[in-house]
Amino acid sequence: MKIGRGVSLLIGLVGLAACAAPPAGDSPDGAWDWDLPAHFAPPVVPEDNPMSAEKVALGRRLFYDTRLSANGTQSCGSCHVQALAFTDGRARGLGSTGEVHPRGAMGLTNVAYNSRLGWANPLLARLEHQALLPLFGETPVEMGMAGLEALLLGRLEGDAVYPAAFAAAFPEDPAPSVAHVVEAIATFERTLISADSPYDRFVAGDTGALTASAQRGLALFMSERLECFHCHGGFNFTGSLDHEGLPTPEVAFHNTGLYNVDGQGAYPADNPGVLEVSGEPADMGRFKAPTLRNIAVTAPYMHDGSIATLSEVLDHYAAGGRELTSGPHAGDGAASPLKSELLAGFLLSPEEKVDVLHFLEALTDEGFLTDPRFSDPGE
Amino acid sequence: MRALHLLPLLPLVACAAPPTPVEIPFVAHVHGAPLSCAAEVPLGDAPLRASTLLLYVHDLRLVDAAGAETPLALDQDGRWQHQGTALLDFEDGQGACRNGSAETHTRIRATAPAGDYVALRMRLGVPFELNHGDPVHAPAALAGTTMSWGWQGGMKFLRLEGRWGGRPLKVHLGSTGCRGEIGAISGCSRPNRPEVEVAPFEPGETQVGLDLGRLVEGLAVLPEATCMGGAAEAGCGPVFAALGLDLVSGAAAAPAPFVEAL
Repeated sequence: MKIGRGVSLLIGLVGLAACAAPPAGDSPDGAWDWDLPAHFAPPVVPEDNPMSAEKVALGRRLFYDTRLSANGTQSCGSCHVQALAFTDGRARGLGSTGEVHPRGAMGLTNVAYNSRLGWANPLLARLEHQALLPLFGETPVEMGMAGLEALLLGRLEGDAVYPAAFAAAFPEDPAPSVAHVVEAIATFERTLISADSPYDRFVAGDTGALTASAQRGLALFMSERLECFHCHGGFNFTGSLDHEGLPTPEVAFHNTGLYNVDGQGAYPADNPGVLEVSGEPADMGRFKAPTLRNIAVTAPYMHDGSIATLSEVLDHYAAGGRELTSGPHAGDGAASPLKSELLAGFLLSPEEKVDVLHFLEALTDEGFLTDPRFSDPGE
Repeated sequence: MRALHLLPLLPLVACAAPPTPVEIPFVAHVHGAPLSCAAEVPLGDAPLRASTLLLYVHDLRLVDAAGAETPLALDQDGRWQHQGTALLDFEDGQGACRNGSAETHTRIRATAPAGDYVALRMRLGVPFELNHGDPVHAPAALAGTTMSWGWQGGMKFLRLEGRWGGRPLKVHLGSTGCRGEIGAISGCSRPNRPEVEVAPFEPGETQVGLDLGRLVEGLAVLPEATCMGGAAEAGCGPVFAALGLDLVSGAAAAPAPFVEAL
């Protein structure tokens, strides 16, 4: 199917949905107003943590509050920087006490739609539970609050603003608590919706929103030759997606042939992927394929930041796996018996590569990167 | 008329022994030398100092001479003991135990029918039914972040940390190979819940001894004295043996050798 015809159909269906909508927030009947374009379905919100403007405001304040780290140097926002689509530009995350994480901080673009959180944890399905890990995790230490709940809550209770903010967000149970901290942060995170990239405007009917090169790149992205869409598909360009319209969440982890340390497909010991959680040998090297929205601002790439540029990412997939010829992790990932069967490799001319890169750049939503609703509220 | 009908029942009621309080003290030691936060104790030819020691126990039952088991009913204190599970906390915040609060909990308070008991059995850890609740809304005994096993869902069953002869010492035990979602785990391929038998056991007299020297001495020859519960970790072979656990399956093969009557 030529992309042009598909887009015409979409334009017909979408119609005038791109008209201005009221800003997201509580609507008179109490339901949350997501302010989404027609090609986005609403995210799933757990019943035990409904959205409210007060909870979002509290969560945003907590997200940027360095007092959520024991030594007061790091907030969630330290590793999740808005201008970088809420990642931090590092290959591997750096904790508040100087410990380096095995993996990079994941971006938070459309995190409300993630069926699984983290790079390789099949058990982690809720933002509320994910927030506990950087706060209280010890291997490595990130925000360093393990065993220090009383310290954290004391800081919040003694603050000039927080007690009233917690009461407003949780009127039936107003005292600050660890549960409310993660519930509020998760609620703020659910509002981090990116749906207004040039690609989105193109889908909504603005045929000039994508250059001709980017349109060719989109076609290549969706082609059976490149197969990018097999792992990075749907409106959020990921295979691990949940939304209101799905009967069951989609969850997928893939071994993309980045390493083959032992000739049997092994990844480096500090990052075996899903195997680390499941214990299943077949899960060696399997990682989540995250959203590609805003991907142009979230370098370096892969779970350990081991691919520096998008151009090199395309080279990796074109080769059907990465060969490292020297160093402690030498091996030919293209020959890994564990790599995904979707990773056959492909021919891509230099001109076509430029087209694909232009398309990926067209997934950058400048408004999302600068929206004051998502920024540090300050003081 | 009704009262008369009750009269023949009275002797039957009097035969059931009323529940009596039982207090079970736990003592952490290294081959008999009490373990404290303030001091080192020798293990082999190197000093050992613990900075962290917490563990869960559940399914406590007393055993009589005929082998019949009687469950202990734990006092529901809203803090350390929840249903049949109890958190034991040996850190007093002093010395090396910087991260511990001042409060400790080393004696389990429970009730059981009076009787002639010869042994005490229990399991280490949190039972599956309680281990995988929503971590955000857990009862107090299961809510502490120090014992959460966050990335796998559930709790750490045992957590020992310290230094031994200049090397870091770290033993963490919990269920691994879990499936499902945190908050809705469907099962774990390696339960890792050791069985414990303490005999002879005289309620009110016997202490339950946790010989941490026995638990970790097999790590003496390793560059790092650690076992984080993985089947492929070099340190977990000797540690699982001291726990009476099968390394591959995580099943309890025998009562944990490191726990004995004192």
